[in-house]
Order: sequence, then structure tokens, then C-alpha cells
Amino acid sequence: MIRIYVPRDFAARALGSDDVADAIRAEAVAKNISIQIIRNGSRGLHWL
Amino acid sequence: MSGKHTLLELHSAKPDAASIIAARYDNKPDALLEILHDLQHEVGHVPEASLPVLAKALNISRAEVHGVVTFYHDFRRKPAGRHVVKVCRAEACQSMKGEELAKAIEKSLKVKFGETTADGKVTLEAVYCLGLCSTAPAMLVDERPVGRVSPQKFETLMTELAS
Repeated sequence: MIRIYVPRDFAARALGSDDVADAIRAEAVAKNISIQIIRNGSRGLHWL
Repeated sequence: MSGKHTLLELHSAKPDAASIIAARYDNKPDALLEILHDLQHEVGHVPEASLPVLAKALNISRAEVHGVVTFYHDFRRKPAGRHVVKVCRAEACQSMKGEELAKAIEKSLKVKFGETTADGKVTLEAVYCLGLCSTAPAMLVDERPVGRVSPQKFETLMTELAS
């Protein structure tokens, strides 16, 4: 099981983190890979 | 925000919606803000006709209800368009070409801030800081945050809304 952290704070969502999470989920389903997506905080990394 | 009454029920009897919601809060005057929030959530706006109804139910003056409703700009006096776009016009967004964006949006939608497009699709509103300064200029499209908005990105967002 691969664990993937995708931020879900307001600023991260403003830059499309929901779309990223959806894309990862869709790809994992398509390739039949078992993953766990954890929505966490971005710790401000969207600034970069 | 309890789900005791459906949107449809309240819509069919708009003046009644206020008294139904007030009753949920035992007609307590302290709960005026909560009542107004629920009313806007369920009816979509705070109808003029509901102000005297609330005043009577809560045993306060109409002026008092009017004062609260008009003080908080988030309370909508008229029904909104099908979508609501709230553009941040505060300092950080201004410093990131927010005002240029605001003008471009007004031109694109052919409305001024506070107005709804002729087709009833979009209501355009100004807000003053969404806490998204790090992704300025920012806006909310139907409660969804969007950062680093350019006029081009705005057009794309509007096209997505149409679909």
C-alpha cells in the first residue's frame, strides 16, 4: 500500500489540490494500484 | 441548519419560513443571527417580508432586525444568481493585480460588483480578504477557493460553470 499525502487546506485547495487528489485516485484505479490518500495540511509549501 | 424542513417546503411559503425557523430557536431574540443564517441558507436570501415576521416572533423592534440584516453584508436581500463569485479586493490581492482582474471580470460579465448577470447565471460580489493572500489574487466560486486568478483563468472558470 502506497500512502500519498495531498494537502487540503484552503490555500492548497485554491491551487487545485482537490483536482490533484482526484487525478491520483483515478490513476490508481486505472492501474489497479492499492493506495491510501491522506489529506493533510500543506505547511505553506504552496508558496513555492 | 437542521434538516427538519426541505428547501421546497420553505420556498412555497416564504413568509412562513421565518416563523418556522424562529420557532426552532424558541423565538429567542439572542438567536437572531442564527435565525437569519438559517433563513438565508434555506430560502437563499433574507426576504423583506420576513423582517416584520421575525420582529414579532422575537419581540424586538423592526428597526433592530433591519439594523442587523443591513449591518452584515453577507445577508442577501434579494435572490442571488445560480452561481456566486466573490472576488477579493483587499490589499494583498490589489498588490497582485487584483484591481485589473476585478475590472476585467466586470467587463466580462457585463455587471458591476453587487449585481447579477442578465441571464441570472452569476452574482458578482466583492469580499475583503479570504485569507488567501499567499495565492493572490484570490476568489471564491460558489464557496470553492481559487488562487492566482488571471483574467484568462477566470474565463476558464466561467466556461466550466456553464457545463
